[in-house]
Amino acid sequence: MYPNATVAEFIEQHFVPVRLHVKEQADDFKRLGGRYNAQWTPTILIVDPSSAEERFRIEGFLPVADFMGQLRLGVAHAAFARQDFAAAERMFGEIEERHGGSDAAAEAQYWSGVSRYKGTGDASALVGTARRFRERYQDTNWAKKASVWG
Amino acid sequence: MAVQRREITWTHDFESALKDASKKGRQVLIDFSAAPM
Repeated sequence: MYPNATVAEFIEQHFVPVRLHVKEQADDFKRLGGRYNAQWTPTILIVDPSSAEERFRIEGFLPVADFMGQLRLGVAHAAFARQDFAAAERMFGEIEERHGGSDAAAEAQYWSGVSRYKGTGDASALVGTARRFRERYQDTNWAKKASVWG
Repeated sequence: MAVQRREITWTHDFESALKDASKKGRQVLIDFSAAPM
């Protein structure tokens, strides 16, 4: 994944990247792997720098296109966690457009609606999200989660 | 079309990365890896 220029550029623009190799950085791999319960490789964590709390996790290999979708989800979830709901909604919307048809897009459709609701207090955002799932990504767990809204 | 390659500049110091990321307004990405070096 990493020698790919698209992935590398995105990571360097959006993150401070830390690599902990099981042999080369064995002590920190064990210490931080224990702290964050990273039990498999590759495990990619996105961590908030002020709290050191985990914001998103990617476990296992993914092809580049899917990996990019998951990285973008991580950035969007971090915005949601700091309650920047407008930014989160925008980012989730971009994931739906860029990665349409993917697992990331289905998750983004769900969280876009939740972000709008959290940002506006308007429950129609959730009803609208449930309706969108009847049109697209119907067979996903995200559709099941949204089904309770209408 | 050939895939363009580019290497990431990794740090191995998590605590320093937290400070650096805080200054830059970014998140930290940790890669727990067992890939051949």
